[in-house]
Amino acid sequence: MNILNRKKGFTLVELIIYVGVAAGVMVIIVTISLNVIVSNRSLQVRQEVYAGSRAFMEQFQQYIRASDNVGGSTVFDSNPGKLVLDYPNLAQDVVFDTYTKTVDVGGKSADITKLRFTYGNEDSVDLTTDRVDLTNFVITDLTRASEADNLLLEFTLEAVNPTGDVNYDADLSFRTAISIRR
Amino acid sequence: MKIYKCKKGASIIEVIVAVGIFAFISTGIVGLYLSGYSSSLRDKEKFIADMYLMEGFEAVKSIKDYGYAGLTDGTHGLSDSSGYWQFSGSSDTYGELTRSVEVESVQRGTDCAIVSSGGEVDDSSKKVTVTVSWNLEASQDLEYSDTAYFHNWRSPESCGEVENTSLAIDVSGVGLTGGSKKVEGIVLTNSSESDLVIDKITVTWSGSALIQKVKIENENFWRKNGTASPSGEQSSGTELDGVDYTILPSESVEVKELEFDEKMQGVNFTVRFTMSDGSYKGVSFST
Repeated sequence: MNILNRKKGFTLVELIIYVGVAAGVMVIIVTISLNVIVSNRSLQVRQEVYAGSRAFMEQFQQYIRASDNVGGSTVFDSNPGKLVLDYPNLAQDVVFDTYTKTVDVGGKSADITKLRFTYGNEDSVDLTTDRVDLTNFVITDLTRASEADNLLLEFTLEAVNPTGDVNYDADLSFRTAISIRR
Repeated sequence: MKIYKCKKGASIIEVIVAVGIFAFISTGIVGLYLSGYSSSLRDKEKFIADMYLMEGFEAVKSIKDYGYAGLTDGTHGLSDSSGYWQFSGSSDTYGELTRSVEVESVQRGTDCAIVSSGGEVDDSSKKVTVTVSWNLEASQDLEYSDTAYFHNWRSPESCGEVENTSLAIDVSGVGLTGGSKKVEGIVLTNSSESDLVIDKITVTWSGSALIQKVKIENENFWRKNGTASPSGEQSSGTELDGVDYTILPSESVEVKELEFDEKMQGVNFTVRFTMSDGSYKGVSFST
């Protein structure tokens, strides 16, 4: 009984229960953290697609409305389209078009289509990031008779996701129309 | 029994409290990212709906540009199947979105402002409301709606008569007389077929000079010691409510004197004539 009296540690059973509980708690914490990290990244991917689209639509709106005319080399009714605008007081055109780029995402490479904007003879500016693939960009001319040009624009954008992880999937399809204000 | 006495484990209450706090915190964290997720889905829907709504207004503009008569009252859908925008049916859809365009007549009150009822129908204006509603993955039924007024600018119907449109002001002959203290030569012409009444004149100039008199043709419109208000010499920008001066139809009259207490060479002036209906017209010149 003397030995038992001196005992101040855990019994084996207590130890097992303790380790078990600790492991359970750790698993829950790690799972939650992982979920938060993944969903955060997935949110970022979505934001990149949506917020990016909102930004370049502002650009389309501003330049189409202010232009004099839709240029003859505009590509209508096919994907990818190309929009050429005769812009006031500008010798060259304002151009919205696309180009293909190979990007690395998650250790894998992918060919994506990017939207870009060119103002006169200035350098082109990308309107979509390397994480966004413009899979559909079609311009339709809905101008009636000799009225101000009215353009129907249709877009589909997808998050670049060569690894196929569903968490990083995001896509957006939308359409709108813009007419020249003259 | 000594073993039991040494034991200092947690009581059941403590365990429950601990588990409760843990559950509360983890619920918060999980809830946080779930709400972020669904708000990003709503962002997507709202953006698509926003673009579809804008398309609606642009389509209505296109229809109006082709012919104002195309804006017929009623609830319409839109169609681009003929290669241009047309009203078709009472709504149209894109994916989960439904859009309708409501065109209403506009009424204007006696002051020409838009009123909801009791006014006269303005045939040159239409109130257009585009509504986009949807029920997508992240939301309950949602609806976006916006209103704009469309006008027949090519041949607008006039509303009311505004006097300032009848007044032409010519300052090409402006000069100084009376030891450079008087400005002369502002010619006012009434281009309408009815009388035009000058009610008030506001003269603004650079510098600290004071105005003493305004004379149209041979009548004192305002004098510092006259009956018209305000009384006394006045500084720049004061509204002079003088003796109403009537310009007959097609008549031209000259503001013969704007008299000051100092020489007024090289001074910038702005003169504003307010008519009896409250409308006004201004002119700027320098001496």
